[in-house]
Amino acid sequence: MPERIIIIDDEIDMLMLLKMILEDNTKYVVETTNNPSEGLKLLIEKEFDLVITDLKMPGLDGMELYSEVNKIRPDVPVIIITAYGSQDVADEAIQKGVTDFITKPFKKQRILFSIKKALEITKLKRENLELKKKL
Amino acid sequence: MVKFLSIFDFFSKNRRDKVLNDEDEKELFVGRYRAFREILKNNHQVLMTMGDMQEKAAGAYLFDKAYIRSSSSTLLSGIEQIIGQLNLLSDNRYTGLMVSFQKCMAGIQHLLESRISIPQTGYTKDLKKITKGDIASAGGKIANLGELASALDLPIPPGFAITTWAYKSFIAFNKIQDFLVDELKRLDIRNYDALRATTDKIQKKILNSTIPPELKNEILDAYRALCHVTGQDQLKVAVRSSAIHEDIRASFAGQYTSALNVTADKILDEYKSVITSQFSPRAIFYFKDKKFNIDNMAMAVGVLAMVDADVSGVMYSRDPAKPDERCSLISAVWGLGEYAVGGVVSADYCSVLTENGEKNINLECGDQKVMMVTNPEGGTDEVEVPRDKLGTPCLDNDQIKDLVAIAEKIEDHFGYPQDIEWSIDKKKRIYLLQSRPLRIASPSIGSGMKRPSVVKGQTILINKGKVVCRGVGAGNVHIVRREEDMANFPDGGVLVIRHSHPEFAVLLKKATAVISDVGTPLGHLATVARENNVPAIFNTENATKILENGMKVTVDAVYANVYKGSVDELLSQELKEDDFSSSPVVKQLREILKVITPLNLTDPRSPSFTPTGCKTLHDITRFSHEMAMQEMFDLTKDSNFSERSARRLVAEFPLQWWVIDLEDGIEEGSRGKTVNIDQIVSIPMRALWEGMIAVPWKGPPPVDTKGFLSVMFKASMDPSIDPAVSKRFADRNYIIVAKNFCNISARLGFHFSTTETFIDKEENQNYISFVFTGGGADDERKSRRLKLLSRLLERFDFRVTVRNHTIFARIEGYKSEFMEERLKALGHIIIHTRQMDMVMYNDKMVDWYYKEIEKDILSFLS
Repeated sequence: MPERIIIIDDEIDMLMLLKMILEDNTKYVVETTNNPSEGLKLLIEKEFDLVITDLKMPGLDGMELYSEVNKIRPDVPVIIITAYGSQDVADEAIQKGVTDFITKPFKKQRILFSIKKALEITKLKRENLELKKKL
Repeated sequence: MVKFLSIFDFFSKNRRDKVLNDEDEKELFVGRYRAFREILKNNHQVLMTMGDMQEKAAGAYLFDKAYIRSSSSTLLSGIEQIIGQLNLLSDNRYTGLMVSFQKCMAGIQHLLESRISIPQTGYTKDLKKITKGDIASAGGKIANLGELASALDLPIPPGFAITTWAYKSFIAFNKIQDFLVDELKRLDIRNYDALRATTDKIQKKILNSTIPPELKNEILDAYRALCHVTGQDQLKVAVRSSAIHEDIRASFAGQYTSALNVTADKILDEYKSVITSQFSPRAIFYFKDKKFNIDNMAMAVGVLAMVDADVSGVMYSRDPAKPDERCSLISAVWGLGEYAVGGVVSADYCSVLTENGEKNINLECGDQKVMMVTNPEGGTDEVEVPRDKLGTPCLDNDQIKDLVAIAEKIEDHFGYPQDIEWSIDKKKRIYLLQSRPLRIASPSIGSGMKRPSVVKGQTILINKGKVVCRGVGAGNVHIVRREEDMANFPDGGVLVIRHSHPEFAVLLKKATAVISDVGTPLGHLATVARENNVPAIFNTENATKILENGMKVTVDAVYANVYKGSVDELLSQELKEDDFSSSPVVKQLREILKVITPLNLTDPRSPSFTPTGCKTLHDITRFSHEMAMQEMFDLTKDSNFSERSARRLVAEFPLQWWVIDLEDGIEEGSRGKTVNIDQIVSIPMRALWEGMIAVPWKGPPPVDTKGFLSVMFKASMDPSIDPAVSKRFADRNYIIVAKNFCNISARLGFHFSTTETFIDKEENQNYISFVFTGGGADDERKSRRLKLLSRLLERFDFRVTVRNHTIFARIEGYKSEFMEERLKALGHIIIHTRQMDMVMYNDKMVDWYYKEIEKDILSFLS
């Protein structure tokens, strides 16, 4: 079954572009929303394997969203994209458990590689959990 | 003597209106020097930002509006600072720059705020007069169709566009704009029932609205003119949607309706139907989901003479599965093309591979049972395919070849693979109905350019340098060394230059590629190369030596190689990087760059090289940079420093030179009335000095080092030659230094030279400016000496201009190590050519001294 990804970004152009890239290059099922609260709602209602979110959004920013996701779905990796890239913010995010931190502008390969890696981690984590349960 | 006075007038102390005391003078000068340094720094930053924006606009990066906003604002604030600093440096001589700056800023802000504004045009426009630039008024589909006829002279049906302005007028006349905005704002597009109900309500409202009388009349007039052109009284037409957002992404394709074979009495109704289709549930969902501004919703409509098609179809100028090959695909059906587009029937399918000029056709016949045809009363019917056509190919080989030739021509024109709709009428005439970019799947992850970096079996002439603008170009080498070489630059030539000087920008319209010995991706010429998309490799070091005029070369500005001859393998390949060109943000950035990067001010001597001549931010940057250097030069010339602010230079013994330290040009902690040469830490001053003393002066009188220095700086001074020279300034030479800056006014005998230079880490900021004039000998001898100096300066990479017995030489944009080497050479030239006019008896002397001095310089340069 193809992996399911949710992209949350208040910038509609970015959402469009990311969706386009994923649809053109991968078989992932992609859902998008420009509203972070709606994104959280969708995460409760549906199964996802990966969250990609912008850092600066009105209402709920990327790091807050990450904390919420972590409570609801601790096994789901989160990639944060931002235009405000400073190494300190990135380090802090990674320390808190964010899977990857990507600064805009970036090339297609950068995000595709990051997604691939994140999904592999999810898979391993889930397999691990299953094995533990069986044990 | 008059000339001498004008040249030596820097000695006059009365040049300045204000009389300042030494400390004020120095403070003022230091302040201005700092402004100058800031200009250089900001200039570098600004060019870097421009380069970055151009890179992002090439389509390989993902970014959002925040990037465009922040880069634009970085750029604007950098340039505003440059203007401020230039005015500080020049006593507000360039306040006019703010006018040009504000114009550019307003242009950028406008583009940042509204992506598409509907231009106020007529209600209709003849298709023949429409080009691809008319998207905002004629919509994407019709603008592209118009382009095929206007730019490529390809056959399209006659017709006209009903403009977006007509749509705006229709909405305004019926006062429904507020209603539309209210309804759509409130609408929750995820509630399908609400979506359906709202769009129904809107569509009904539009269908029940009245077309304003002026619009109605203009549409009918345009229709009658069309009947007249085609010679048919009751001409039937196709009424096609052409939305301004339609070209953004294929997602809009097929969302709007079109009506075929429309009779005169139904045109106005069909116009309303087509504009109503903009409010279908699917279209509104997409439009709102993508957050397009509802105020910007506007639709143009194309009214085209109906082609009574015998055969129709779709073609792709390139097979999406094999983007590297020149292979076109055609699908063809009998009758109207709607069945080919919708995949309703089994169509003929044909792939055509163009190889070595040959077209290899591979045709698979379909099994079409029914076809769509026009009804003589209007509208369309589905009928069975006539028996004589059943099982026979729709197209013969000639028609296929004609279609492919058209597809290739369109692709070459637009620069992208195309998805083209066409029809062939009963008289076998081809008509194109639509052409839009074909989205071809990007290469797999990480592939970028898939071809190898080196083409086997080809001779590489140059394999180093920095790629400044990616691409491949071929042509005959044309080396431009001096201005005269620019005049006969051939169309399609490969521009080969020593320096990437902005004056060469004018040649980029003609050049297929640029190769420069020196230069960085951040220079003005680099920006212009990217602006014009001319493949360019800079910093090749010795292209001007390796390449020869007329030599055919292929420039691979992807892997920075230059090949001998024409390498077809490279030329036939296109750059296939990830392309997000169709993304709205990329388009927006490209629009904004039109106000930023074009360079109109290439020649400082041109009459338009003025603040008001600046049309773009690049112009302002270029102008300010040039003026800053000139102002700094003049400022140093005009300064009235006195003994108290200057320290006498000592090298073994006190010299007739006084050093003024601007901030960090002399070793920290050093005090006193004199300064030893070893205490000077100014990088350019040290380099120049090293060149001056590297080889003892051989000329008359022969002396040892001490004597040589003495002669050089003391004995040759003779204030009596110019009675206008004031005593105080006549017997002093000044060196103004900072760590990265040095200005030396050297008066040696009858000659006067000024050297000004700035050298720092960023090569873009570095320059050496040298002016030389004077001489006591007769004109002929003076000319010979100028010739000798020019040749030597050119030999060591200076750009030289000679006017009125004065040499102006400049070198800029090189790395600091290289600049220091050139300063050493200059130091040697200044010393060893002094008084040489006296011995310039004939031209042979010029050659002899040239060789001697060149040999000496090469002996100490690393």
